[in-house]
Amino acid sequence: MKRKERKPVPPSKGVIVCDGSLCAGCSNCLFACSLSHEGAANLELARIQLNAHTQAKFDICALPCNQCGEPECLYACPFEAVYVDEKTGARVIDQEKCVGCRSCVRACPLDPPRLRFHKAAKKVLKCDLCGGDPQCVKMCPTGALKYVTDPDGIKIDSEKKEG
Amino acid sequence: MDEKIYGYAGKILRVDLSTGEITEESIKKYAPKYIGGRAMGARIYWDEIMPEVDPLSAENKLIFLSGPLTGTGAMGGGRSSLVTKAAKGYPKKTYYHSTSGNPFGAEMKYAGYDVLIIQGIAKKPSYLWINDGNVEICDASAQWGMLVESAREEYKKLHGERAQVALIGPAGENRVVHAGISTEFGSGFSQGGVGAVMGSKNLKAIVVRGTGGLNVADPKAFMKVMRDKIDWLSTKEGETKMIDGKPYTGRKLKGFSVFGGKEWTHIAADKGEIDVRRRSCLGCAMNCRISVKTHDDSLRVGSTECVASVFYALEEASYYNPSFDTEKLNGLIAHRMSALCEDLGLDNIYPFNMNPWFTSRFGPSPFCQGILTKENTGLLLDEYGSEAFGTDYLNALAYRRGWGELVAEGDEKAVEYILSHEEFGPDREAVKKAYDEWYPRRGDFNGVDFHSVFRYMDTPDYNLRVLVGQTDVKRAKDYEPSYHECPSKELIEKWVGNTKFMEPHYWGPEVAQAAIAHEAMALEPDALGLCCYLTGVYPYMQANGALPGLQMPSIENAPEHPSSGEEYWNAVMGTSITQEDLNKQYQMARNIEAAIFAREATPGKNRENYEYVDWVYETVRDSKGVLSIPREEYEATLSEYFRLRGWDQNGIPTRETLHYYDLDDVADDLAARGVLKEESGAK
Repeated sequence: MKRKERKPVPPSKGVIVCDGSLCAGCSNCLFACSLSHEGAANLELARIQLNAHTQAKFDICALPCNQCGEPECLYACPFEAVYVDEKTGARVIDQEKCVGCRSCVRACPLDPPRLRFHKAAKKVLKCDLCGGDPQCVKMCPTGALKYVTDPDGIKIDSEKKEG
Repeated sequence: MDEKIYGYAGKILRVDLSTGEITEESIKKYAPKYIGGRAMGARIYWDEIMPEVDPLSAENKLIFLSGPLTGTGAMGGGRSSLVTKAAKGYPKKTYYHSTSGNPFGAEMKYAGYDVLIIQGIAKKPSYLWINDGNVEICDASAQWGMLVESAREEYKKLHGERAQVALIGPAGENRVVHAGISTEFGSGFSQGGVGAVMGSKNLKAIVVRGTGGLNVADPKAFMKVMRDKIDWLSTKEGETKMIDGKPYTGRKLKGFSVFGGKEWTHIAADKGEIDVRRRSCLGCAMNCRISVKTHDDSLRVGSTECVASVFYALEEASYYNPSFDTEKLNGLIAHRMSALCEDLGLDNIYPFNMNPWFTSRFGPSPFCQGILTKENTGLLLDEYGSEAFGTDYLNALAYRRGWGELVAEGDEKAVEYILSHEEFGPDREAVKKAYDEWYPRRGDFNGVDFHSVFRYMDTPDYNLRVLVGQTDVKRAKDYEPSYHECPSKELIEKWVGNTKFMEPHYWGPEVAQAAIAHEAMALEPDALGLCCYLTGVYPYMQANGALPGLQMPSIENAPEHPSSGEEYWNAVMGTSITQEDLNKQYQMARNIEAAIFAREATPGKNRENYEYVDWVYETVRDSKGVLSIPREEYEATLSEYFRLRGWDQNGIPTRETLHYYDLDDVADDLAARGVLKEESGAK
């Protein structure tokens, strides 16, 4: 399918960041996310990831969506389902338009991709900053997760790497 | 598929390794009547494992269970249970309940199973691969004999790094009764010889990957309970927060310390000798684990905060640093011994100073007395405390070499051997005393665990044992209870009904009442699938300084009930039941366990399972001020405990009591066996 033109979008007004030195890998952020969005405790449907799955991993960290300045997920969607939320600047997915093709998941420069495919619903899930009140940040017991805001916008460019 | 019950995944998975048959049953066979890990585990054991079953036979079963809150994100909900007939136990074997703080149980639920029952014996070394609803018995010939860490890596290579693996090492394969089942992150089902049970089934590992979720009836209410708990536990020293409408001030959190001062892991970290970081169990805000690694990456330890990781620290210090200069300690050898224990699949708690051989409780140990020598054990005893000794000794245990063979089936077998062999010298009778000091119980099921305040939940009289443990803790003459990091007396009064039981050396009806209240608090996390170290089940131990603030920043102004079981339960289940309703269900679990012990005990002798060998009553005091338990007062307290429980004076639940808990069929079974005397309780 033909890619649409990469029109610049305004930077997000808020970004969730994680201080890896404080993260204890508890998964509370993932639970908060899936409970608030899906009404169920489901780590697979969380829109924030964690790299603490093995004992050998020492440098653990929660992995939130960067709400990229140049959102590859937005540009990759053939159905223009990804749009910028006016209030928060978050790059969000219009669930009505999403057909579950996963172009956005493949386009995400981060590893693991911060977008999750909901197998049962055949839709892709993405961090929407909870409309400006991110539940994962509220539920973080160590203060590792912070919600950083700037009305003029915060621009993070994600390189193709973990974290 | 059955309609889902909130909190539960919905199914019981049964795997028969002898026939290869894999079947599923609905969790509704047991839920919601029997709650989660503790009650359901006891009930399945009662239904399926009969008194005549040998722990290492095909008829014994490994029953892995989670609770309705396991894996939901509830605070401390990373924990799960294992119930089986223990390989340890002397002279008889019995029911054993073990818990592990690792996502294994949660992953099982995400794969669709609340309970996994493994029975039979595989014809060749096998492992179980549970991938969501797909279950396979696979060939484990390639991993049999491998150390735990290498085997786990192998399974993660085969099935992905997000798979959870519960597995045994060489010790379990060799059916050593000191073998545990290792799960990741420095945790495991360690005691009771459960690793030997798994080894006897030719089962190397259980590998689970689940991608499903758990339904919560009221996610908003549930998240509110989560958030209150997180606020409470994450309050820093001196900080004041309003939690649930009440002001709460954080207090200093004391860490676990071997030497009474600064914890040695931190000394080494401060000196830059190791890297440390806090780790948490699944869905827990407490972060009580400390992961350690050396700069050269030659050593990685998943968790050091547990006592299991420090059992060679004193030995290491006395060998390499006899002046105990804390500035010179780094505990790296202790860490390496801990890692080796885990790698060999041994229960870390047994090998060093938590057994009768190397540390006597009230006098010199058989080792110190020279009864055990290099010659008669084959161990490097003149280098005790060195890395060489530790390495050699642990390998001897796991591979049943020399001394390892002698204790492989339990310490009591070694006692018998030593008493009848002259090469152990004229003083060898002392080993019997040393054994009795470590395992001082009378009755049928001794030797399952060490006599200490820590591990007690598997035993018939576990609560009274906690209180006995307190007597030990209270032994210093100048003992003053410290309330610095303990629940207030007012709170204890509310939880328990009295504070009289806390008085040093006091025995009376209040102690029995306290024991029962404590049991309810211990049963709750085990049943719901929460962490027993987190949810305030140990207020008495805390009150007496046995666990100085290990898990609680403060419970001075803690919630009304320490575990929030009721709030969590109602949010998850969509019900509006009270803590009292839940307590009744927890107490039912205790009654099933009591019925199991009664069914397996020597006829007419069940009371002895709640009593002690003579020295406990006779040792009045030594130079340290050790006090014995006064026999008459203990017996009176025990009688009162039985009376309050609704059990007869032999510790057997009466028909009336079993009827109250809707366990009439249990009463019928006990009556048919002649265990339950109808005239004692029939109405």
